[in-house]
Amino acid sequence: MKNTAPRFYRRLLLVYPKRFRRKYGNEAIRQLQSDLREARNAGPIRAALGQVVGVADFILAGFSERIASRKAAAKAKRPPRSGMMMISSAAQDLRFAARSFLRQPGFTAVAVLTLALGLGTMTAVFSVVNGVLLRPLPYPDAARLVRVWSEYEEQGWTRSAVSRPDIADIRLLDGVDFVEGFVPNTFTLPADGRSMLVEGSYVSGGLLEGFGLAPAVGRDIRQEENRRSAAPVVVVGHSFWQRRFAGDPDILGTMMQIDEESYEVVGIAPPGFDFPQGSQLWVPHRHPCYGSRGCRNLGAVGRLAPGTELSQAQAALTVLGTSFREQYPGTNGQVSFRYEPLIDVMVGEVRAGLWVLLGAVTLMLLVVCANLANLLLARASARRGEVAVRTALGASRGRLMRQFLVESLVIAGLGCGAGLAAASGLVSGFKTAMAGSFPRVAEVGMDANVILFAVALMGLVAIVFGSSPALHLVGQSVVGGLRGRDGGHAGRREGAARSWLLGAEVALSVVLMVGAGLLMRSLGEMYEVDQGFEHREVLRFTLTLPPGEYGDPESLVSLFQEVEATVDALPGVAAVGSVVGPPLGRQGPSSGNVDVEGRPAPEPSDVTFASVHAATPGYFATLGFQVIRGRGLEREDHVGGTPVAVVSERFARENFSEREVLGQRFQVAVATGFGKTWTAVGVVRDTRSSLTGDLRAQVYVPLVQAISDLRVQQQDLTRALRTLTVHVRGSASGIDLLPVIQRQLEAVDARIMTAGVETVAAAIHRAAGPTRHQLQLMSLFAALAVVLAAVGLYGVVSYLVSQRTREIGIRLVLGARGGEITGMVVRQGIIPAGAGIAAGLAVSLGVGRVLGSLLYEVQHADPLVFGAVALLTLALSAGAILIPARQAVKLDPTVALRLE
Amino acid sequence: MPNRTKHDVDHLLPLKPALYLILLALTDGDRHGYSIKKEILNRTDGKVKLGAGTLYRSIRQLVDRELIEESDKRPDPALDDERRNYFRLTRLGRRVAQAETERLAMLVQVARSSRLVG
Repeated sequence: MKNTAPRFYRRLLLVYPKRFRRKYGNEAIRQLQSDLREARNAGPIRAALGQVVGVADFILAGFSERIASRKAAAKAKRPPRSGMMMISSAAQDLRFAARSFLRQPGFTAVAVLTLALGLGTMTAVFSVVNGVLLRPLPYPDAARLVRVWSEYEEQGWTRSAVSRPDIADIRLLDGVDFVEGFVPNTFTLPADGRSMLVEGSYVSGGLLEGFGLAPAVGRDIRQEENRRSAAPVVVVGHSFWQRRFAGDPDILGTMMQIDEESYEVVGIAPPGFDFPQGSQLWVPHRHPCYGSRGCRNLGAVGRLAPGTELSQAQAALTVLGTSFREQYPGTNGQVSFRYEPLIDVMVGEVRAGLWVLLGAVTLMLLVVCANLANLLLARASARRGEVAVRTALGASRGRLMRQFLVESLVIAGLGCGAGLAAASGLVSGFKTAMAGSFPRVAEVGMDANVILFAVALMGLVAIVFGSSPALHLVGQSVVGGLRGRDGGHAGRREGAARSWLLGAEVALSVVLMVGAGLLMRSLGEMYEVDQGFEHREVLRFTLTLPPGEYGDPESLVSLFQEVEATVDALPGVAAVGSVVGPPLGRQGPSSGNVDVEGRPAPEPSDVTFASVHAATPGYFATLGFQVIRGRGLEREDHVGGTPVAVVSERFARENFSEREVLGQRFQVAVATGFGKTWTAVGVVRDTRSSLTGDLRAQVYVPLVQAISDLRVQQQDLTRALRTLTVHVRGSASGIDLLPVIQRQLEAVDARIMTAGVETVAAAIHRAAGPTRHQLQLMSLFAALAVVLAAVGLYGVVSYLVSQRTREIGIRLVLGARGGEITGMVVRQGIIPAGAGIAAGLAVSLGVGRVLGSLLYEVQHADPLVFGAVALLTLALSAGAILIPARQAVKLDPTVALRLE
Repeated sequence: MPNRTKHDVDHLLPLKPALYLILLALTDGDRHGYSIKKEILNRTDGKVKLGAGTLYRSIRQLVDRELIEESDKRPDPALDDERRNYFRLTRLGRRVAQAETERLAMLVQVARSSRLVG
């Protein structure tokens, strides 16, 4: 609300009379601003509440002030002269509205609060949609930025990494200005004798130019700096530079220790640039296999030439892919290339979900509107007499219509003000809660678009819920109104309008509840997926090693052996084991082509892939992997022995189908470099590496053997072991063991730190995150909608009872039994409610399709969800109807008849 | 200022709590709006927090009833924000605050004797 705030406050001030505005206006606004600022410091809910209370106080005091000044003026002046016509009738409308609301503070409060609720959540959701989906990425000409992917049609992999030689060739194509590759990485920097972790990337060349940016200081990385012989250089992120070096420009040219190597600082990135994924360090990518076309371990980002359509550029890229398939069948036989707009990649995962949420909150807002329309209708019937008098006295229909619209605008305006305040609280709450786990969170905010949206919405809402009672009242018969009774006709019409509104409310809440129900079932299914391993009570973490130590395989292996032995000896620990590329990890494991010894090179379409996981002997026992044939990994598998591997069922099936697996020798070309010839000694059950992903072929090899060759290049060793994760199974809750474990680690080497500590259950929880968040918000909206619908139902039925008090009294006197009266009243409510439920369920058949990818293993017309929603809504409606119905029966006939 | 009778004072009682608290906040010196709010917050241990609307509406009422008035006196201009209005108690305001205090004290005394409160 930054720059629009003053205007917003000045508008609020208009509630006050002129004299007050002139004298105290500025100060009062300043005071309000500082109040709201203070309120914002509390927790998200209290902050939102504080904002609403602050604004509401301001508005209400304004109304009181206006009334007071009117009274004072009336006292001071003689009865109004004919010059009264000079007062504009709009101002008159406003004053009239204010007065009539103050006479009914309960009605006003309910109306404003429900509307604030509806508009506030809608505005909040919209500002997220606006910041994440609608606003362009914060780079010049961001629409031209694309990601470049390899696709493996056979395997169904559509977003795979590319290789350096591929990038070099793509860069020469028409229609693309720039393509560079990158590998996100966590770097280790020395900090006071310990290590500090900093997110960064290996890049094939400078990214800044391609993003249309220039370094803040110094220069970007150059292409030729990727040669192994070139001096290592680094570009530092702006925020890291500010944080760590206090923005000192003199760090240019100094050396920086990163992952055991010295890098010269050559540049500082411009503020805000952190591509990819929050990077703050960029260093040249100098992987040993970078010259090989089959070594696909780079993400690639590019920029289309100005004026080039994505489809044109894609056509050229497709041609290149096809020709490479013939030219390099060994490495590119299954590969084609694809551009995808960068923004799609960044927000693609949340896009569907956000639109669905916006849809859901729109439905809720509609329920709010229907409810308000009902409230206003009820109020309108109470004002039938007033309207009749005014019509009789000569007020034109237009004048009356305008009066009603002004009234609903005033309510909508108040609701909108409070809603905006609530929305700003909700948005800041969202940003805190989602920081780091949601794309582009930092860019979410209440900008001019959002305010405009809220105000437009307010106008729309005011017209929608304001016009129906207005039309209804203005059309009534004057005589009937004056007699204080229904002109029959109008009453029936009003009844029908209310029934329709009620039915619609119920139907909308049913749709929302079905959506929430389907998501809930999906989430349940996700947690129920058989991961192929036992995750209960398993705690895991990686180790951050002190700089300059454990740089060779022997000392590293002995460190891990010591760590595992120490942890294993702890009471309460059942098993310990470590693995590179753990299941449900933040980074997926790397896969490569499988090459079986003695098997002729396969046709391009028959190439098989597998991921390789270096593990310690205790790993299988810790996660409860079941060895089906042969044996697992054992302590006897040492450096000097034959390199052995335990393969997954799927690996065995894909590569050897019917043949005996044990004793077979094979290689897997993975970027992590475990490039030995392995002999299969066992088969384990398949496990999943992502929550709901496919089962992929996996190979487990002894850590000792896997890394024994990696001494040559230290960088490779650190990179290979980046995801080496220690898993500990406790007899009790795993997380309780953490402090004890950390104390033991300190005894081994005080400079070792644990990182990425989590339980495997938490990793599953995290993987289910998108569905979970969606579910939470959707359930909230559904709950609000159904409560509003029930309140609406209750209100309408009580109103009907009050209208028919006299009739009920007569019936009771004439001997009608309680049951008959109840039945009569219940029928009036249950028919629209029942019709609403039926219509809602019918519409809900389409909800599954809208939710689409958010659902997992759930039928779109899941009978359980539909049944439960129908029953729940029916029960709530019945409750809301029965309360007033029973009151009707308890009426004392004599009192009822004496009324009127 | 014309002479006020006891009748005038009684006529203004009882005071709304917000008005009373503002009068009390001004007993030991002139203050501007924000400082009044702070003072009340302090004196009530943070229990009474006047919203901006209520605060200035109350100030307007007190000014209209001539219980407080805008003061020309300013503290050191270097320390002060020029745009702020300062307010001070009028003689009538002081008398009304005293009368209200006596009235409340009397009520509390009655309450005490009925052993409702210690």
